[in-house]
Amino acid sequence: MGGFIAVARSGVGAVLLHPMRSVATVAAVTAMLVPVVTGLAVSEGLADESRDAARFGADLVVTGLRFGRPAPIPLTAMEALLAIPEVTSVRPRIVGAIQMGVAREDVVVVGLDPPGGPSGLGAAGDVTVVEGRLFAPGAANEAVVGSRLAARLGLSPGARIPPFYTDREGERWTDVVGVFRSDLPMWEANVVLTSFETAQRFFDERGHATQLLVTCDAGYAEAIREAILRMPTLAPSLSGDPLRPRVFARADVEATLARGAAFGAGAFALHFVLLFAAAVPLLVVATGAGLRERLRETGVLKMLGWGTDDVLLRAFVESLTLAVIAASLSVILSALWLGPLGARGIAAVLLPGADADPGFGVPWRLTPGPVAIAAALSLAIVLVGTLPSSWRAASAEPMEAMR
Amino acid sequence: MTPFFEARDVAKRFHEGTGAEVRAVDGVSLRVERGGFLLLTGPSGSGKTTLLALLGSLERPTDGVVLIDGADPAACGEAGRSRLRRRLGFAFTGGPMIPSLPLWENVTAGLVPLGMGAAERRAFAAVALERLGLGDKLRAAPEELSTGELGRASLARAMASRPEAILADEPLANLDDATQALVVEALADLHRAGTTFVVATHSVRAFPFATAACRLERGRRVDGGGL
Repeated sequence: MGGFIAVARSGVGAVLLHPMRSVATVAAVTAMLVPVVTGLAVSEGLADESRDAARFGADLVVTGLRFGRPAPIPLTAMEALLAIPEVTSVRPRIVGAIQMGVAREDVVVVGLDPPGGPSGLGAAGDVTVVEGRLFAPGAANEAVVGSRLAARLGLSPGARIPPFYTDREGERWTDVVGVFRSDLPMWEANVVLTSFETAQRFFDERGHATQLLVTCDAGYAEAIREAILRMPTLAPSLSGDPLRPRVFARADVEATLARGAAFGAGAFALHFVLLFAAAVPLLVVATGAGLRERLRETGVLKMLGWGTDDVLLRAFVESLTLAVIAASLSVILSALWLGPLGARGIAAVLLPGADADPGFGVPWRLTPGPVAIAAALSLAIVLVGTLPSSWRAASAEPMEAMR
Repeated sequence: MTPFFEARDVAKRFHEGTGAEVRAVDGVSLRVERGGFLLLTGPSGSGKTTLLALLGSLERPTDGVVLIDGADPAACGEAGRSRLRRRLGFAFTGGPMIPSLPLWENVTAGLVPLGMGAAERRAFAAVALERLGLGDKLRAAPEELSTGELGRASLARAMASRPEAILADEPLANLDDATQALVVEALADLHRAGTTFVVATHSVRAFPFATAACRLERGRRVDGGGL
């Protein structure tokens, strides 16, 4: 046992015996791992925020369908939903698309309940305003814009958007009163947040919402969902055409998010496999360049009574040490890149629609899983790269190796 | 009594880049009793170094059999051969050393698989190097040593593990008279303590205590000695 430990320890020391080879190996593996670890960390961060958004959102989201197409829901439907037992609240929300600016940017307008309500997209409580303030409740014609849209259109608090919309009472402008951090799940879209009342006016759809957010007592979501789906219409219309309900439960959202996160992680894993395939031949060449030196060294050790297993153990521990150094360095560099450096340069690669300098805090989280995967794959790369030369050296006759 | 080293009609052939066959050792038979001191003599290129390597299981013979303390290395398997080599010490001209290790680590590298700690190995190295006049070179890098010093360091390495037998190739090469005397004295002491020796040398007179001699020319034994 003492011999095993002593030989293993000599493998750690061997890292310092060949500094150039060690530095080249660690640098190559680290260069491969950093994008992967960074991607997995961002994937985890996005999944976290998505899960939070789902967790703090409504239990059920109800939309209306007429002729199989999405249709606005009259606010009178809220009373019908509130009448269902165990429903605790129903809040209206408007999500609609408009175009803004000379370039006619596609913009999503979200009409929210007044601040102070429960968090989630149905309220403004979880929006982080980085400049200015939140919009006033009611028909104040105030809006806050996402940081990405603000940067693109040159908007800042105090800016006026003339005319933002025209309704039956004439042209209206809107005051930009704040800029919010447009992170997940909104960085991909150009988003304007405003009060529900103002959003109704934007779209000239008084007394209507596009979605109703239903909260209920714990454990009743499924029963209430079925009750809503059994309703022949969400609200009676003058024409008599029914407005069919469509209901999304939080579980549906969470399942979709989990699939999305798994897809993201899978994409990064694929990226790694491609890098792995490219890296191994490079490492084989790099270690092959030191084969003569390794052969001679191994010959000396075998002359002195080292067995093939001793030599291979030493080479394995040397590779393991290099892999651990590379994996640790990758995790540290990834954390630095995502934290203090704000994912500059890599945000555009990892997040569709984000700029190289994203201008918002890219969500990320380094969990033990990806770190362990990175360490294991790092070891695999180093081993596959160094194994041929190690094996050749270890299996040679001592005199032949030293010759 | 079983001899410590025995070679029966041993041959080693190499193939040059041109494809021509070189018979480095050609049908040599010899035996060295335990505690014996065999001198291998002969002109340069006569096969002395190759025969040392064959006797120490550093190389496999093309033909014939080598026995070490009655055991055939060819039949021992890789692990068995390593165990046999641990009972031997090797000293070759010019080293060879591991360039990135300090001298004391080179001298005691063979003790690592035995589980000996660094402090103990360092003490072993200090004794062995001191005995051969290299006490001040403990931390030196191999590249800082002269050819003669490397030869002595190689001998110190062979002695450090206190082996049952030492195979030495030209241990007196590149040494002045005083240092040669120091080395001969060290080998004589070990011989008196029971260590078996096979020494390839051109300086036969330096080893009056040798128990046997074997002369090689062109890979063949020419002294007429049998087993």
